Amino acid sequence: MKRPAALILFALSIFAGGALFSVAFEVSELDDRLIALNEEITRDRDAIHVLRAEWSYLNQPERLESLSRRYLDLQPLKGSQFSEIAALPMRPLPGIVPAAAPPEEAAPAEPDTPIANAAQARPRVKPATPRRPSRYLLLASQPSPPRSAPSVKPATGMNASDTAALNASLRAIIGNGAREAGGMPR
Amino acid sequence: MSEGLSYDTTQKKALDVARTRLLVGGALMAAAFLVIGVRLVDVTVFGESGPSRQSIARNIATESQMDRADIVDRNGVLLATNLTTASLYGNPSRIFDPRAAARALVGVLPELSEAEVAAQLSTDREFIWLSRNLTPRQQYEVNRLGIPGFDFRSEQRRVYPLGRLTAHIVGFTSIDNDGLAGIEKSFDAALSERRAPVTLSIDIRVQQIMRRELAAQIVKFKAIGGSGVVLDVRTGEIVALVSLPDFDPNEAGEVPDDARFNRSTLGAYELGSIFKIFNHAIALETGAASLTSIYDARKPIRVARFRISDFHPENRWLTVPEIFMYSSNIGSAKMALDIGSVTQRKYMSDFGMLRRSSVELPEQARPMYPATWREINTMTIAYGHGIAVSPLHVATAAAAMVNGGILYPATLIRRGDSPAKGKRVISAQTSEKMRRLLRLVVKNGTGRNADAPGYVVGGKTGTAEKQVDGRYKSNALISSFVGVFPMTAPRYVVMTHLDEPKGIKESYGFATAGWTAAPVVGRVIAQIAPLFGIAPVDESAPDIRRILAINVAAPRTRGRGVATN
Repeated sequence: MKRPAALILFALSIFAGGALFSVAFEVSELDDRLIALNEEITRDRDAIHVLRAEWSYLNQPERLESLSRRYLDLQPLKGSQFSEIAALPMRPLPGIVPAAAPPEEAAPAEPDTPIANAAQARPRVKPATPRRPSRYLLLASQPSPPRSAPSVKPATGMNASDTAALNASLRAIIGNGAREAGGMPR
Repeated sequence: MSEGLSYDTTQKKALDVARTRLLVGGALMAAAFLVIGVRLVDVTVFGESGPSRQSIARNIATESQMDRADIVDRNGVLLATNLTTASLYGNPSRIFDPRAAARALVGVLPELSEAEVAAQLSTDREFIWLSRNLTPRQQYEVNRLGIPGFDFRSEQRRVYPLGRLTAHIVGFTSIDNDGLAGIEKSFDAALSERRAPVTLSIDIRVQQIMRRELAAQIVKFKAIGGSGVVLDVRTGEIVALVSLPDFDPNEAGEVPDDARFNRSTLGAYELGSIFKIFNHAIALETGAASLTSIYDARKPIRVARFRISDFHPENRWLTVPEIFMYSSNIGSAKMALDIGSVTQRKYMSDFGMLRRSSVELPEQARPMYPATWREINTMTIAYGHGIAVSPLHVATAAAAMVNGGILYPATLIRRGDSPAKGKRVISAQTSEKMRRLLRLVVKNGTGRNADAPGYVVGGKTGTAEKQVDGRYKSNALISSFVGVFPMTAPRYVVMTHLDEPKGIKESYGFATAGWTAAPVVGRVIAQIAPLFGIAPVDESAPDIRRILAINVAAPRTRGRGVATN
């Protein structure tokens, strides 16, 4: 009666000791890993810090301006280049011809004006005011004579898709500009 | 039996004692195990995550401690930050041959002087800085020398990624990262204690546009310097603050004093006719004059040894709007006499012209104004002479003239949703009249070159002669312009001044504000309005014309409201 109890106790204590050691080793291993991870985090954080400084350095407005002058044909926006959606003429959806609209108005805008391209890149534009009939789809045709020149002229060596992409990004810039100055994504 | 009994009792007693002791001992042990068990459950089951997470957090926190917080613009663009660099120090007690060590070191770091290094290494100290903030390549080359007495200590170096662009705002620090100028100085304690970045109200895009246009104009008119301020009239937040010439804060030590001088806040200038904005506002506010009053501007005023004359003489009776539009000194001086010295001083004080600005920069001008405010002072202050303030003073007060009459203290810190509390200085009606007057100057008066079509610009020119050794020099001008847009519902004040511009062929030899400063404001407004989301409007639309309409011509009944003193 006494011997088996002692045996069991002995076995238990060996098991407990073994378990304790394995846990202890595991803990020290985890500790090493923790230290290594902490070091890595610090290193990465420092690297992020350096990269942020470099990002800011490379984004110096003056540098961006000179790069833009060299590689892009963009000009500062003029007041005459802005217009309200409500001020733009309308084009009916294909298939629906409103009785009042003469055929000239239904003709597509000149393909190489940037505002027209921008509007094509954004096919579903809601009308500015709910009073306007919803079957109309807005498509900009240049509202004023050539004085309000397109802001992006296709530069030499640029193909049509480049111009379209540029115009799309230009539209993004204009769209952002309409928000509060502080709210621009960077 | 009695023996047995006595034996029994003794035995029983002993047994009882033993049992009691056992019980007490057992109870103590049980209690101890219970405590351990409870604590074990507590630690393993309930308290598992708490302490370990804390220790991890502490670990990371201590390892990534920064010496100084960042400074960012209103959109989070980094303006000042720290980079970890290696600094070289010497331990002379471990260097056997100082001369050889010095020669080797100077071979790698040529900017050091060999004799000086040798002298430093010959002392018996244990620590001497030799060169701070080395590049990784320099560090590698010094290491390659293999001299035991040289060692590195990693340091945090303050860097300004945008360089000159915000030099006058952000300022700079010493090599030990103590703030010496600008925000670095005024927020020195906060920057070295906290870790969250300081967010300025500056927008670097606007700052860049202002700086570029101002720099171009300074070159064009061969000016010696200039300043530019863009201020939000509804909060007092400064969106751009430029002073030229400027400097690279990364090398602030080797900069001439003139470049470090902040002309927009530290410079106090007699800004000239710009003060007619305030003169007119006071006259309209106090009722000393109305928009239909007329004044005799036929001939110059002579007071003591002074002679007040007009730069664009009309030589006739002028209405109050005409005095503003043609920038008549004679008319303004007469209006000031109707206002009176005491009232003028009180309002100038209300507008913040007699004390330092509230802006968070240590570089601040103390306004200069007459100690005893005599009648002649009143007359000259009406057109901006005899009082010297910084351009920022004028921009701050001009914002109050157009925003409905509330003066907001100028600030460089982004306020966000909790703008500073303003103080009413003039009535909303007077402010509304001032908008019409300012628009008139750009539409028909001296400020036509500041117009940016579609943005309904208003403003006022100011050309003043600089005082040198107590005398006014006619060929050294301060030409300034304060512009506001859009005048229908003002949002921003754009103020600029040029220091000693010279007339050129294109301006027909003129260096006055209408030719030099006004075009800068017009160009800046045309570029920044889209950034602020301000859409251009059709200026000829009837409702806009009605808002800004003003009756310029003299009324038929001459004599009403006439002041002839």
